[in-house]
Amino acid sequence: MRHCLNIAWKDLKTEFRTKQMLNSMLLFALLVVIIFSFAFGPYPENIDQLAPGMLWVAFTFAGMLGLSRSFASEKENGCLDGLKLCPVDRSDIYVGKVMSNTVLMFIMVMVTVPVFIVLFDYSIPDPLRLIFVIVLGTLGFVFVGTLLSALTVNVRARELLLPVILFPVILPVIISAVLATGEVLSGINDIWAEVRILGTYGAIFFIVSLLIFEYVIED
Amino acid sequence: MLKKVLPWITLVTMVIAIYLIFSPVSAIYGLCPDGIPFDLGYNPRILYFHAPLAWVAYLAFFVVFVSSILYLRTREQKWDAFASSSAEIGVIFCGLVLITGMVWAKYAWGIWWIWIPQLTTALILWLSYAAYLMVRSAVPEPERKARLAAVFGIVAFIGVPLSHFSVMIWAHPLHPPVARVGAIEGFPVYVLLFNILAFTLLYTYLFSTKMDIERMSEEAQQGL
Amino acid sequence: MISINGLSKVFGSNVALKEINLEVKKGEFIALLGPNGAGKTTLIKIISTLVSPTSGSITIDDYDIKEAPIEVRKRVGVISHETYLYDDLTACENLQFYGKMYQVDDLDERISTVISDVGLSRRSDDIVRTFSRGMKQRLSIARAILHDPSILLLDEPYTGLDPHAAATFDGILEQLNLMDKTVMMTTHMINQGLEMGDRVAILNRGEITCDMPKNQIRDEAHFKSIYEQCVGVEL
Repeated sequence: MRHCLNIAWKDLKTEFRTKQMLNSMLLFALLVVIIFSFAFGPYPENIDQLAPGMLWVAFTFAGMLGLSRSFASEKENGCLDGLKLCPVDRSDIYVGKVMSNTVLMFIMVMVTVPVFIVLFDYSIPDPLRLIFVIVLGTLGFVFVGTLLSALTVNVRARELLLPVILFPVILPVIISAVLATGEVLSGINDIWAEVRILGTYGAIFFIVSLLIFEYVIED
Repeated sequence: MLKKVLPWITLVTMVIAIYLIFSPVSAIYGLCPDGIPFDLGYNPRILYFHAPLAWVAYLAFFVVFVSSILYLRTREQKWDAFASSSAEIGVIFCGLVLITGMVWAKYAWGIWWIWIPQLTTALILWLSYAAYLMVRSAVPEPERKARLAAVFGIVAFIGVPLSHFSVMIWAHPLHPPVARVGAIEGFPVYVLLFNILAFTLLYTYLFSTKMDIERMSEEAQQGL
Repeated sequence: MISINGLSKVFGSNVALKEINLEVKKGEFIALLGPNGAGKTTLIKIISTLVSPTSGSITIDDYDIKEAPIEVRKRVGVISHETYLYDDLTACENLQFYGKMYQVDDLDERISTVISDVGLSRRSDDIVRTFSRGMKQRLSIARAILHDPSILLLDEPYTGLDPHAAATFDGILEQLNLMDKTVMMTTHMINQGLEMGDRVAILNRGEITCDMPKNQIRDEAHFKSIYEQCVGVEL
């Protein structure tokens, strides 16, 4: 656990020093929201139906940018080998990366949602529930995304390959998170079915990733 | 021995299977007769292709999953060849599932695509394993290709039931269950089972042929 | 101590290492020479647990690399032509990160020791990106010896160093060798290998074709003739 925190801390320190990834994630998420608002008109009538989809498209596309850099940054100077030489389990590296990716995702979400609220003059009936759904969805996204980010790190066209292989696998997260967000925004309190899928998805993929991560970064 | 007989058995079984679907005799025993509208409770003939194709696609992807695990455990090239052969056949069969599904939807409901859970899950499956083939084609080194593909083969398969459940709750409130397939009993059940057998044989034949090709290309590479 | 028994590594149909047997005693400095593609880097990667062998076994101070990889990693320091340093962190932050990963005791004290050993005390709070190649390589020595490993593996450490930087690098290494470490260095530069090692081995096409203590070598010309015989190339 200490090692995971150490890795995450190192990642975040590097990131906040250069802000390369964070800035592009934030700008990208903002652009997605703004492009949607141009596409749907200034005050769309069915905003309740559009909002969940817009939010999750922004989250996942911007998140993808961050994920694709997550292991790529370790390629510089062969740092990934340096990490693998450390006397820690390979899965600690995975957990550390999950932590730093999650923090970056949350920062991006915390900027995007207020911007969305301002641009669409939107009010959220039950913010706590919304936060809960977003956290669950983001975790599922990051668990699989971090694994596949490591998988694509040594591939020539990794920026192209990652979205193509990540989106089919995280469709359950996107579907369930969009549904749950929609229900929370329209004041329906029964989101148990979606939450159950998000929770199961996160738990299963976290455990599977811990088990197979060492095969991913073998070379 | 088996290798020599397999194509002939497959051919004969496939011919019988297709005959059973289209022969006028079968119609007497309860297979959909010609010119019957869909809502009379008969299943259209395409069901007897559609369902076996779906079964083979699932089987093929399950083989990818098991071979991937075995590859990571043993690191034998053989298991990687298993997984890649099966994935390619699976993607083709899954594509045929989507096409037959669309034809069926056009016939039954007048639209080409219908977002029912079964078809949507098949679409997600197709996308996942097309991605699997993308992983394979993106990595040139054989050892790394096998290893990364195996990891993705495991991840993709685990996603299948979760995709299905999420599609179920997603499709349900928007689309009431328009697609009620007529209950199957009696003779049509045997036709369906026979078709499943025939398509499984077809899969086995294609699989063994693909494995031969893999082995030959391996030998050719070593000869160079 | 490094002991390698019947080690082989196969990549697909390509045999990188064939039945390697090698024993390196405590405190010995072995230079592993050979042309590019001979399998030197693969051997180092296998010893340092980065790559797993196809068959055979290696023990490091009586720990098997397959059974106790974490114990092995604690005892091994690697200096490669890649520095394993984070360009956006300062020298000190890099060492702090690795020090915590290796659970080094009294980390701050240890960092100031190693950083002055490699002559970078004045630059310890500068971002690594601003360092020259030679300084980065020196810092990577500090990184490798931070946890006081009993075994140092050097994989083509001179790549990209100018003669002056290489000389400084040698000076630091010589000073370290007094501290009773087992060292294995791979290089394709014959004179560098002869100068540093007290034992020289030649690896060609995945096989060790020559292994002798330095005192059996009369001079560089003598060794070059041996090397030509082993590798089959005119120098």
